[in-house]
Amino acid sequence: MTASAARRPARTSSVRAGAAALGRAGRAVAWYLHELMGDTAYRVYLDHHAATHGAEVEPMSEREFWRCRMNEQDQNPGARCC
Amino acid sequence: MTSQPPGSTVEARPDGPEPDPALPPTELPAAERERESRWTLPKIVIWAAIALLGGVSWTMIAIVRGETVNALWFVFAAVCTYLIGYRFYSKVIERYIARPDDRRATPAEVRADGKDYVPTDRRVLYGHHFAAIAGAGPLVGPVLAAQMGYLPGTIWIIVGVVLAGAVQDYLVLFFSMRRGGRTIGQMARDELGRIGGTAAIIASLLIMLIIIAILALVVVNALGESPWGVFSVAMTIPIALFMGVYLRYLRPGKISEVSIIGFVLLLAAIIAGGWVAGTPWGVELFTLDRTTIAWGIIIYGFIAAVLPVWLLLAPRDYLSTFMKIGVIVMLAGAVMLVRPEISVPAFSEFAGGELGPVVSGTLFPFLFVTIACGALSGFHALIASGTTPKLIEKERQTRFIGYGGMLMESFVAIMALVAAISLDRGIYFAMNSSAAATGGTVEGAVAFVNSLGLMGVNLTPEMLTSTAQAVGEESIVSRTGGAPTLALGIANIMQQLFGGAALAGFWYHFAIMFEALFILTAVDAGTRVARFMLQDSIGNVIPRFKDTGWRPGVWITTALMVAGWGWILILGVTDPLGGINTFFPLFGIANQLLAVIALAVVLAIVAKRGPSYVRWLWIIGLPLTFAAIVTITASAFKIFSPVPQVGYWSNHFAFRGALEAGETSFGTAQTVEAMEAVVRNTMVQGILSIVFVTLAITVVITSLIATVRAIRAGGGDTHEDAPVDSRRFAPSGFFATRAERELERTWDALRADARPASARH
Repeated sequence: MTASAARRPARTSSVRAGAAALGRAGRAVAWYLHELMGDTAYRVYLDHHAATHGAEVEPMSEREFWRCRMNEQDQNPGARCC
Repeated sequence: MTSQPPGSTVEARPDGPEPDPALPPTELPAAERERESRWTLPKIVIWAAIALLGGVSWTMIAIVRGETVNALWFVFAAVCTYLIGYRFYSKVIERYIARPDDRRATPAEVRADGKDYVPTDRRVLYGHHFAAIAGAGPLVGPVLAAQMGYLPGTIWIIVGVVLAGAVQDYLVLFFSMRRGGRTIGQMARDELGRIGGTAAIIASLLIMLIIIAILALVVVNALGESPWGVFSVAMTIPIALFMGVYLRYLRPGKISEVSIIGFVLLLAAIIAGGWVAGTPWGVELFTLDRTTIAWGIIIYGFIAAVLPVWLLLAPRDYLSTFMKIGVIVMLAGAVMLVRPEISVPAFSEFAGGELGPVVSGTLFPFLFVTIACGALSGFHALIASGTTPKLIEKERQTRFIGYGGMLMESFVAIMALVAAISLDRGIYFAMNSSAAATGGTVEGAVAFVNSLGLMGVNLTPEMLTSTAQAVGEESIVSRTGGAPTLALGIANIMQQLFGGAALAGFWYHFAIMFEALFILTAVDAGTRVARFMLQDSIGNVIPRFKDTGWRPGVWITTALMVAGWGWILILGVTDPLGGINTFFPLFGIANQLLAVIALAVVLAIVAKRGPSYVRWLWIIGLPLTFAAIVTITASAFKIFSPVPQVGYWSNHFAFRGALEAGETSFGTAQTVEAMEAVVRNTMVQGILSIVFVTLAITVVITSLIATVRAIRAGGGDTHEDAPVDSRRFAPSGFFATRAERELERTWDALRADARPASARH
């Protein structure tokens, strides 16, 4: 494998570049899916909390955060369209 | 406007606070923007190629009259027109109407709270916004409008979205963002005063009820007498409950994970449905008539609207979002790969008359209300004012999200149209003619469709029975409402890619399932929103009702709202004249009237911005005038037309006269009870038409008064939030330009320096 690779360096590098591009595309799709579905909401909250309250105020735990978020949705429904 | 040099689209803000000199620029400098918008040879070549391809595609669809036309031309015509509309027309709107200013902070930045107001990545927000606006609407309307041939619907969907639908979505989103995310109802009250505002709020509440009722009617018609469909759609409830419990107690926050699990369970439910429908007990248990299913949805709607969201609504919403994006990508890919040949004529025999069996009425105005979602949908004004504007990171992104999001919905509508017209016309009319016409039997359907005198159509009983058998249904006759037709079209296309005839039943029920999923999500989300609106209104008289935690108040208002749409649903299901063909126009009219209201509010807002906006008001005036003419004419037809198939009241009096004359059957109503039902239904439909059109005309008049007053005074009060300086930057469109990327990097470096490495994730 290595011997043939050494003989055809151009092809190997293009294969490697292709794999890297595929990897990047995969990561981009995964990033988009997680962001779109809302998996990152807790992290967004933590970032916001750290930026505004600093370390003095303890942030909610992940479980608390999601409960709180669902309660708010209960109080404040959003419409879905036809 | 002419006094301003080209490129300077932002107004000077001498009164605003000075930008922080320590920060990099918060907008792309005007010189940089101008340099990037300069025409270069490669750009000219690309846009000329897009224009050429679009022109050729339109020629193939509209002018070349061969035996068939390939579906690929529809895709190219749509995409090229969208690209040109987005690149040129939406920029005109941005430059002369919206005039965004990226130096201003958006509500997401000013009020950032980590929850409701969060500056969100533009590409992610595009997905969010699209998932919120798109549902079953763009899938159903184009299917029904296909009775007039493919061309009228195609032109309206593509041209309508560029000049009307996307304009409305973009501007409502932009002006709501400038007002901290105020809803269209609140904006109407601010801009048009109390009368216009109240009319707008009542109209949106009523319209919401009608839309829920008619969407539910579509589901009922898709599931009636279909044990496979009933089983698999019913299974979505336990699946959603499981997902809710999983997210609450097992793995909070793992939404993608649970959505994938839910999706796999959903597929299992569809496969299991085929097996259950093949057993005697399955047929016995899950073959339900339409009235029973309607009551099931009514009871379900009530329970779902009072249960906590985490248990049912939120998980089903995740599933629905997941399916929406997945299915649309899948369908677009399949149409490109399969490239079905379309043999439907450009204009059918029904394009000229008003007695088409699917929906009655002349092409103008009824085509434009039958296809609402996908071309122009007033309901979007409720979405574009509310959640999305609170998440926008930079003002300039509203064009991509508002205008671009609606273009995507239009593309979905084109896909639905392609799927529907790829079917045999005989089968199409057998499925979409009401049971009142076909008698609900294969023989009746064959006789009826062949009596329509359609060119090239020779329907045989074998075609209907073998098609029904292929998709695992008892019968496909009079499966009105659009959903089954679309499902058959999708099954037809998908089976050519995967699985062949063996999987046709799976794909059919897969399509039924996702349409039902969208609709049920819209039903309980809509019931909830309507309930809150009602609680708020009653709360003005009895303050206790404003307390959303007070359970009796929640139950009473929910029950009232469910009773409202449930009543219309039952009327539709039991309608002796067919249901969909008589009620669907109300849905379209209601939706377009909401668009008229939204555009009227935008018109007043823009007129109040100042004299330099007046010569660009036509951009809003054009869709507003068209939608107002369409809906008012359609309402007038429905109220005054002497043709019983078209006019609600003429039908009402015809049946009433027959009853008074002592007749025991009249038209398609065979009994006295059926005749009484027609008298009652036509009265409800007639009254609703009158109420809608009166409310819309009230709003339009108040808007015109406010607009003329503002033009005379050279402007008016602004209800925009005071400008606050932005302290962040993000690119405007889907792809960042080179200059935007450079500026973004400067900001990223600044953030990296400002924050210790440990705090970064």
